[in-house]
Amino acid sequence: MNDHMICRCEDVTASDVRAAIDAGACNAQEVKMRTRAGMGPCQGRVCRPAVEAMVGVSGEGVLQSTSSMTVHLPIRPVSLQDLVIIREQ
Amino acid sequence: MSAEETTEDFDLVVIGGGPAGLTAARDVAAAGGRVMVVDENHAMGGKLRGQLHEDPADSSWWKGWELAEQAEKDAVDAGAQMMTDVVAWGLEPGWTVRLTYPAGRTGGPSQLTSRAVLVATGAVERPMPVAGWTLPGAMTIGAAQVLTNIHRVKPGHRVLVVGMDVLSLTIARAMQLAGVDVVGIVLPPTTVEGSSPRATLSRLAPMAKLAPARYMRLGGHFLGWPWVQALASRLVPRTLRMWGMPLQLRTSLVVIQGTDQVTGAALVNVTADGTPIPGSEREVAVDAVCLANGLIPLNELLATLDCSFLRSPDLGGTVPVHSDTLRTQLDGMYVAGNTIGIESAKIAEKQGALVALSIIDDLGLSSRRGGDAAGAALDLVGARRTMEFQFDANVQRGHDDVQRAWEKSGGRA
Amino acid sequence: MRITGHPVLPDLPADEVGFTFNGEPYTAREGEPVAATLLANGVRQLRVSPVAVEPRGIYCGIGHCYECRVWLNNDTQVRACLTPATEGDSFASERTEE
Repeated sequence: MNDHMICRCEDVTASDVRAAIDAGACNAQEVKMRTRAGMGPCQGRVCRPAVEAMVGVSGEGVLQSTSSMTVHLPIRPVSLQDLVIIREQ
Repeated sequence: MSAEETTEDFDLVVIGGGPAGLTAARDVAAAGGRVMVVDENHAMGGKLRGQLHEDPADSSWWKGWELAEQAEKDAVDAGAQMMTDVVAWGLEPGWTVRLTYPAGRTGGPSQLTSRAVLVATGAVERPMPVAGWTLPGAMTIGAAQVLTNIHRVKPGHRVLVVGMDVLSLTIARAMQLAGVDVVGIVLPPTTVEGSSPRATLSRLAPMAKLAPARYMRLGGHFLGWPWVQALASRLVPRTLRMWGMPLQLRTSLVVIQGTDQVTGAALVNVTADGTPIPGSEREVAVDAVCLANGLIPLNELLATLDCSFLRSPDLGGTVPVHSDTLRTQLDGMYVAGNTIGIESAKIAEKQGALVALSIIDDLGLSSRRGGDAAGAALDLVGARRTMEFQFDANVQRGHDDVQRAWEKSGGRA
Repeated sequence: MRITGHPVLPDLPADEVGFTFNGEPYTAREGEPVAATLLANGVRQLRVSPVAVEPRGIYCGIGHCYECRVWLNNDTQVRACLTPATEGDSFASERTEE
């Protein structure tokens, strides 16, 4: 089976993710920490479900978040200039 | 230019100007509310703008472009303000909506404060990772829809569609109308969950009314029973023609080929349960491949806040727990549209009208339209029952699960 | 690659906005995102990825994936699928050092 990208932003391949799982990563967040999958400009919007399809989703029923792979502010890239404005306010 | 150090104050800020957001904006503005709609696209309308299909209800053309323009006009006529080309990158309780202007071309306030916020951010496509999917020319089915129906550029001269669902079949048809040679519609790689011919047929069955082939129409009545599904899956021809396009029910994508851009795809025949058949591998020359693996509710803004979520395959993913009147566990925060479950634009519009009733009531705005939110919530359930097709046949079950979670939580995280 | 004479949808206004991409001149329809203009002219590759050095182009088409990001006037990274050109804009795959 040909290798393929999972995280398009950080160029993390399926073998990278599989290696992280083999090394003990047991949820999407741990895969992110080991491989950088989900740390690029799209912030996991695209690869989160693909990583979860490989490592499994965490939890059933009512959850405190949408995924183990955390979502942080800002949810989209923001220019430093715009962040400085917030600080000054 | 970029964000200016200013704040503007509203009764309602709507994030996402699709059918849900624009309808809610119209009704709250008509009730006297000061409303702002923000959207990161250059034009309002969301995905509605790109929709084009023959309405199975009455065979008229559903022209999303015109419907989106009308929805925006109605909201503006009612007094709602609009900002395009702006990204809402954060929410803070109280409520503050943080903004950035990514092209640095349009400018505006760095933040909006508002008594109420409606998150109507729609959905994101579930990826279909496969060798070659990063090549230029390999794109989501949604990208193909936007290119074809909004920007009027062909995604390719010869296009392969991968994945069979309501969206991919209607967009394949839209591409064909625009003069694209859709050389085939095949199944996802066998590694993709639920991609076998049998699983695919059981999902397609409820949309039989869309498919012109007599076989599929008959299938709509019979495919509901698991044993008939299995039978049908064994008997189904290798290829059905849909508006002349080959729907290859026993063929899966293996890899997308190309060096600098897509030049072809490798395909393989599979058994009814999705096992590749050795010796059946072959290649097809195409310059674009459109990947369709379903939609997932997009909930990033709410994921940064203190509220709970329910994982519901029926709704397409993990959605914020909310009431049947579309209130969330956070005071002044509301949800509508695909962000709470994958459904059609018609349903999103009804959700927009429903959530507006809740907002008008909670903010104490005098309603010229008036209305009863509980009644509108029931109407929504009825509308789902009579819909011509559903993205997921069990979508109401998903909404019922959310309602139970809401009641159990007492409306608090 | 332009769609003309669509059986259902009306024709769009003609091209009129001039811009460059990697030094080559193109003409866009008013309000059309740069990625659409480029595709209409047969240009699919918008940049290369930073680690694997692979060609990349339009993927999601609606601003979610950032695969189509390009430099506008050597100053700001923008999503080519959302950003319309204005007259005289210069877009590029890479930023050049001043």
